[in-house]
Amino acid sequence: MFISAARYFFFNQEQESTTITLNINMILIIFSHPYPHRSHANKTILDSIAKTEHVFITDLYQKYPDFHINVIEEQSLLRQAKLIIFQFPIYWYNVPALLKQWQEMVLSRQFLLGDGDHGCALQGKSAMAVVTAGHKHQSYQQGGEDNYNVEEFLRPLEQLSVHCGMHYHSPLILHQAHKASETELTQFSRLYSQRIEQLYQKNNNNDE
Amino acid sequence: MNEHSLLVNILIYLLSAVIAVPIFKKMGLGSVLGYLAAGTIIGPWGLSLITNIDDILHFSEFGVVLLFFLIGLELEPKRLLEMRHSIIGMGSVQIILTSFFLFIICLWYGLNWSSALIVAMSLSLSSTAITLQILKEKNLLKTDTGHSAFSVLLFQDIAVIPIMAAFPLIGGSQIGESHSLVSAAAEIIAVILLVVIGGHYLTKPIFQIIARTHMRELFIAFTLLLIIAIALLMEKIGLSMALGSFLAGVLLAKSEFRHELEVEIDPFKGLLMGLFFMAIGMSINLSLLIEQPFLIFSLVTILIMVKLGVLFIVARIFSFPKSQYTFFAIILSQGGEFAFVLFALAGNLDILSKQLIELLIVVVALTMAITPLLIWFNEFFIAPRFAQLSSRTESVKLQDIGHPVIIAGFGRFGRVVGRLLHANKIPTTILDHDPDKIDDARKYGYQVYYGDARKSALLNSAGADSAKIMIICVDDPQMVLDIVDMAKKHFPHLTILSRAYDMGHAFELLDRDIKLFQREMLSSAMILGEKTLTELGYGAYEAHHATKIFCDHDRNLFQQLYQTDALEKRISISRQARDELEKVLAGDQEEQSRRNYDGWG
Repeated sequence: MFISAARYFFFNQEQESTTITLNINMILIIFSHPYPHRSHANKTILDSIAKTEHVFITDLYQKYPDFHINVIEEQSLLRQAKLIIFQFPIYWYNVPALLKQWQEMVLSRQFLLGDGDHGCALQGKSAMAVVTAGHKHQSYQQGGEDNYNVEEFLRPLEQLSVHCGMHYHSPLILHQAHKASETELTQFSRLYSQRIEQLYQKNNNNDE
Repeated sequence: MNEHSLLVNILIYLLSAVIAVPIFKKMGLGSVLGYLAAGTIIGPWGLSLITNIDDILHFSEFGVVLLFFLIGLELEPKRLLEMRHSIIGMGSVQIILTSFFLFIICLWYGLNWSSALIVAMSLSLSSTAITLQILKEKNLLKTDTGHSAFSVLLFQDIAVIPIMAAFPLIGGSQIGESHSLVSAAAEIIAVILLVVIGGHYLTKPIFQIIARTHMRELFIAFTLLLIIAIALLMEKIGLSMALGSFLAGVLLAKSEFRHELEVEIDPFKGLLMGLFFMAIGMSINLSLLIEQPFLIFSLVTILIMVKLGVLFIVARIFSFPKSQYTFFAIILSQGGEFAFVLFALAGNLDILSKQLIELLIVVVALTMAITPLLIWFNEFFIAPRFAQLSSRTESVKLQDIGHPVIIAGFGRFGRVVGRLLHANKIPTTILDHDPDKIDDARKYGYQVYYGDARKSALLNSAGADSAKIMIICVDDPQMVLDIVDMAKKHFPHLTILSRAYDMGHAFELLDRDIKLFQREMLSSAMILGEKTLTELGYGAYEAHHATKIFCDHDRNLFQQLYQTDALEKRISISRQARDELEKVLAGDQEEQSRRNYDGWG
């Protein structure tokens, strides 16, 4: 999946927008990492989750290295998703720049409120963040080096999700990601996999 | 004549050509007219420095033979087959109609029917040398108009053979040398087969053997040998030499030596063609012109008018785009060098009188000299006006407002710029000197002017006074600079953006205070480099970043180089800069691996 997304980028570069038809109700992972090929944790985790059923990955830095986002395509992916995962490393207490750009470009007012053809685009979908953080768990608390919980740094994303009408689920966090051992990564991936499976089922049931 | 006279003669030719041709080119009249004028001046009716015109004419005709060889090289047999309809169609219509009208006019002038027929047929042919030289010089050989003109010429070259054969019959003398038609035809077919088969199977291995010796002169010698042999063979059986060498060219068009042949033969062709034009200039009998100016003037006018009229009809029948009627007609409007040959033959057969022949030679030579003038006239007065008129009717509103942007040059580069502006609804005016490109552009609603963007008159009619910006997208670096100089002089209010050929060219633009330029290959090459990095396993963003760093560095290097004037110094700086860049890129990577990636988890 990951590779196919990269290929897709090349193939699609000179065309305007071709909307790929996928299984509706997919799990969309919006992956934002500027240096995936040098990443220790994120790439491993992503690769292990990629094979999961219903998962589709949109790799922002791989698709839009010049920050020129194909808005129509990204919106179409969002429409087809049941569950939206934001996977990224937290850097300087924030989302990577391209994910911020994605928010500004893709989540237009018209898209969120709906137009003639589509209803409210994200209403009722589920959202969750899966993040890596540089420091130890203990640093992320009051009086610690970083002063706040990781959850606090994710507040804007949380409120944005809620504002878009989505159910926001508590994030999965991998601390000290660059030092994580093989076992820790495997464990985290398994947890990740279980969580999305669980949320996906739950979301389906909600619909019925 | 003593032995020195040959060298002295060559000295005279070269000197007069070197003086006259640049002057005429500078005046925008083209090289052909320069050669003709040089010839007239040094010829027997001018300063009388050269007298043996016939020898020179005959010798330099080999230039036309070489020209045909080169044209053959650019036409694969397949293309030639594709062109057969236009060759036969346009060619036959042109010759038959022109001969017919000229025949009637000759009768009216009081010639008997046999001389009238011979004069009419001889004059119906156009000058291959002049037409092709002009087309080549204007880089229009590969356009549709160029192909059409060439088709007509090719047909004429073939038609010369039956015309020549018919002369004795028309003259009423004893029928040929009773060389039976059947055996003549058989001979022709046999020789052509010999050339085709030999050319196909023999030349390639010989060229390979010669190429392996790595002796350039041997390569040239063999090529010339081949062309001369075929030309003489053709002449022997009564075909035109040019046709033979054309055939040889077509046969070699697909060989791997094609390009080398082109490069090696070109200078010979150029010099001989120049000589040929000079010889024609020499044969303009000025004293005859002074004696009977009115008669000659009216004959020249009639000949050109008839030819123009017929060519207009041809253009009409074969539904050319309207904007190309005039150019196509003018370029073929002169009498040809075959007329000289045919008149000589008619003189030998006593069909035409000596005075008539001399008169007609002056007329033909003058029509040849007038062609470049007509082309020049068309380029600056008729074509721009025509372009203006037709676009005015097409888009009245745009014309009234005055377009803010002018694009000079609408090739591969200009097209992209034009489309980008067009997509953003910015009205643009386009200048190009290729009629085909103009038709394409006009279809899409651009306002287009035909002509040379170096001329202020053209820019004026294109609305440069009210425009804000001019984008120069011409591919020839020198032409870009010429346009810049002209525009700065006549339209100082224009903001100029320019395509730069390379770093050196960009420096020259900066010297002229043009700061908005783009080196033509830079961006696309960088993008391809970036794609390569990605393909080699770089993350897309990392590859993009590396490319941007390279970009910055390139820009700094450019600034640094520009401030250094001496060329050698530039080279050493660019070496130094390359080392520096490696360091910078390596340093950048080191820094990234040390700091960034851990933080990015």
